[in-house]
Amino acid sequence: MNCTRRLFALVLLVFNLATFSLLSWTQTTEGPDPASTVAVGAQYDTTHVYVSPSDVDAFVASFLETFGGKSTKQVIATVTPTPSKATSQLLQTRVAAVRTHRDFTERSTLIV
Amino acid sequence: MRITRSFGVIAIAIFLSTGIARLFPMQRTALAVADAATVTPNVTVGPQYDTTHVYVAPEDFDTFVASLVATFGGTTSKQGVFTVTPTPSSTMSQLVLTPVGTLSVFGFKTPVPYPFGAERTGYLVTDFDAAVQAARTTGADVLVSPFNDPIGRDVIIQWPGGVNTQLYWHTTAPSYKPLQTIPENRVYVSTDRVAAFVDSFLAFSHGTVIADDAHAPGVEMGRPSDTYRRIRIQSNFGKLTVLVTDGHLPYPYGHEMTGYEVSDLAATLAKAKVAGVQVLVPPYTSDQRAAALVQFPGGYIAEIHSITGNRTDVEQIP
Repeated sequence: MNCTRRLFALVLLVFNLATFSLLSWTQTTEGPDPASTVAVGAQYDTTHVYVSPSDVDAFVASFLETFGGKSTKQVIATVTPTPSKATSQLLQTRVAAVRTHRDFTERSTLIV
Repeated sequence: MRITRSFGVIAIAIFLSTGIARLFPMQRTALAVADAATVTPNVTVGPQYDTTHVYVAPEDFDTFVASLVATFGGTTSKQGVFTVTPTPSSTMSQLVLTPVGTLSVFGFKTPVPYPFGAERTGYLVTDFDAAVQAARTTGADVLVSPFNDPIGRDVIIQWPGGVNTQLYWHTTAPSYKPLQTIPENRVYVSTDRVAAFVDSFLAFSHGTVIADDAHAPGVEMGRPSDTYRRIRIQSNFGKLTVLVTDGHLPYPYGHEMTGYEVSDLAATLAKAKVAGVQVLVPPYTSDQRAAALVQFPGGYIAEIHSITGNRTDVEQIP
């Protein structure tokens, strides 16, 4: 029980940063003046999903099966300021945007 | 200093120009308006009617209730299955009346409608509508607007700082025995919101701050080499301890909602272990209190403590 609680599923921001090189910054240049906002772009919004370690693989598979996309390699990391351990991976799916005023597909990022 | 002086000059000028007879009625009106804005009716009933809300899986329900009674003693209400939310749902429900605190146990047979489960405690109030109004007036947010349950009415409010509380009222007023010891509601609040939380809660509960320690021992939140701010509040709702932290809390600190005061911690823990309770933080002593954190079957995490000497917080009453 204790072990289950201490090992949970989550994200590493470093993976998020690693994806910056894959995503063009020019995609956000139509937004507000970068100097006046801290917002970067919707593709960097990550929905945090906590599942039990025993469900992680099935969840990831079901999510990618549903929306397509890819996952970063799963790692085990400490993502809290106090001691804990979590499996962590980032899912990037290509969900066709409902609003199509831009000529690129918006990405929604999911972290598990 | 300058401002004070100019006020003095203005006051004298008003006094001279209007005279004492005209000045007094004006002051009275101003005071009356201020009172109406800040003072709300006292809707408290008593700490035995504070119920810590515990949500467990239906299959763990009976084991959990049995472990509570084995650990603390007391009695239970008859178990039933009810709808206790404003939208459709079905839950097992039972009240556990222990001498050290009351618990309301839920075992949902359906999914739990949002945001139920996030409320920590239920407080019985004397006048439901007045209480809802008082909560709003004193700065709380109404998260789930008033709704009926099979035996009364409910609302879920949120205090500044993100503390969710249910207020309830029964069509037939309940009557529970006074508690042997009053448990504490343990509320973790951020530095940014603590002032707003305390102001709001004090105004609503008609309570008082009985201790405010800016450098309480960090061992009480699992960080022995640090300190944190601890505020103890007393009202007719019972005790409430505010733990003001940076949120860097080692597990399981912050998960415990209630701290139960028992006469003999070691004896209580011995009974608890037999009942399947797991000790998460073994007993330690701080602020004239021997305390431990435990987890009951079904997942409920609680603090249990006994008093080991003269309490510094009692001596600090202003």
